[in-house]
Amino acid sequence: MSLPNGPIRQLLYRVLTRFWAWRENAKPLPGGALPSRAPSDNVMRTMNLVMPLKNRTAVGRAEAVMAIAACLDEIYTGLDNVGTVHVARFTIVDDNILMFSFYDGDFRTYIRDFIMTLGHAFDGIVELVENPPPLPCWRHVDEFIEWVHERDALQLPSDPGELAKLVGPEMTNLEDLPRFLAVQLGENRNVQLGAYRAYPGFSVAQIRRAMEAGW
Amino acid sequence: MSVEITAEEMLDAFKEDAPPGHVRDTRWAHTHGIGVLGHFVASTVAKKWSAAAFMQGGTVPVICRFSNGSSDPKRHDNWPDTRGLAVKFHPPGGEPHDMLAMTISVFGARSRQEFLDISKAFVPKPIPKKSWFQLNVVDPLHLRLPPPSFPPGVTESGAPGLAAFAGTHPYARAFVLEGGASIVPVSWARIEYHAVHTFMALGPDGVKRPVRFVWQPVDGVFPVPPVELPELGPDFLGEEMRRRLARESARFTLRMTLGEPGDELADPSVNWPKSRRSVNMGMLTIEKMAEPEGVDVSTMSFNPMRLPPGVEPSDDVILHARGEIYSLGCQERGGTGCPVLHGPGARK
Repeated sequence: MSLPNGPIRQLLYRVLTRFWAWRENAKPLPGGALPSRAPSDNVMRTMNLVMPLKNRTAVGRAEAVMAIAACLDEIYTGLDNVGTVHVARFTIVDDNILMFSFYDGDFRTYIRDFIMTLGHAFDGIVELVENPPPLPCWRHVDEFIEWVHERDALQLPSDPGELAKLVGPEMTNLEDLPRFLAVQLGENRNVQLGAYRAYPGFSVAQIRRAMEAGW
Repeated sequence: MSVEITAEEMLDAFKEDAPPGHVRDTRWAHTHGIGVLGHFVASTVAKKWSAAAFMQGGTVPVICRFSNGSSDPKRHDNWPDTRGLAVKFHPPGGEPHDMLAMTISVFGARSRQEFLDISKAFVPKPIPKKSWFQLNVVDPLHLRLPPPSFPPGVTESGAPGLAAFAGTHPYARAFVLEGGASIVPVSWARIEYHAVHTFMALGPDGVKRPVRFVWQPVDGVFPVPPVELPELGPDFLGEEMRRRLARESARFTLRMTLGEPGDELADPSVNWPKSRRSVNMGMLTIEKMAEPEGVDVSTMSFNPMRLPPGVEPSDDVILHARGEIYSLGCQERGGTGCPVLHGPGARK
């Protein structure tokens, strides 16, 4: 666009994105892992949980650090025993607590196992974030699963053909792909752009067994 | 019925896509390239997945051809393009076989008719010019990006027609989007090459598995920064390879991805998910230029259907059609069949 990259241009882009979302009656795509149709789709799936902090100051971030530090043993022991999590990490970015993980199997099963195993630890974390789920979360499992799903970032395929298929199924002009993408990104501020796997297709259980890790 | 469309018709359609000035006895696609020699050594796990002779370990001499995809009679290494890597394996005591790969991971057609259709869309035409109003008002309001630029002096291209075709033909989208994102690599040894189609690999357990192959450069993928493109000559990739092989080898790993139930086996327009299991099947080491060794790849036939025992084609119509078209093209240009590698190319 020929406008200089300043506040007017930013405003125009926001207006245009909303206009096209309305004009095309765009529905936000759901976050979380894409449906699995083959065995390897069902392992090393990703979750990108984004939780905005209530207190958006350094004090709020300090509270979050303390809450997580206070229950590291609960978290690590819980994840060890869930047995389907390859990697999980908590990070604070711009007043959001992020929990990113690679896990095996069904999302709902993962969250159910997760919260039943380390629900107490998670209560201390989610009470610091905006619009928390009903607490204690391990007594409101279904609500908690839905709460996590709503905050799990949209996963965009890294393959260009699959990307076009997902965001622009009605598209008839390839030039419009950036617009279809912008409309979705207007609805979904947080997105996963790609996830590298060094050993695609293997579950935690298979790796632990092959490495003779004793699990 | 698509089976009624012959390789002659498909090759003729493809010829329409070539810029004027085709030189007799040269290829109608991937016209410019260089020959190199080297060897392939299967990984220690390859034989667990494939019963083919070249996957059993040991050194297999190879003749390879790196190429630019364009059929332009003028060479343009410094333009974005779909590059190719054709490898001819010479397993000791066995018949030679080929693996053809390109830098786009999918094909833009699923049937012979679609091949004709997309070839027709790709016929070079004057590049349409958008008005100031379209470029500065209409397109920005539609949140469209500025149109891609073409190299200086280019007034005709098949790309705009292809992009328009892909808009209304979803099966061609992945091919066109990947093609539109083509880079100029710093070297033919710094880009990934996909064998595109599904093949059936016979394992030592007697099971035939659907697989797809890709050559991954050991040095990694590296494009030329756009600001440096004007400094590069039209044959810089050939020069770079000569310099590279004078000081070191160029290496690629062969990765074999295993298909799963529900994956497209006969449709080369669709990629398989990155989550599929894959196996490192071996290392291709390119050591020297072919020409000084008396090996002329310009006439040599490479064919995606020339497969070894233990690797079979899938039901992919395009794979079979390409086999026929390459064979026909080879005959038309007076190319040679697969030479028996005794001397220069053989690893001693």
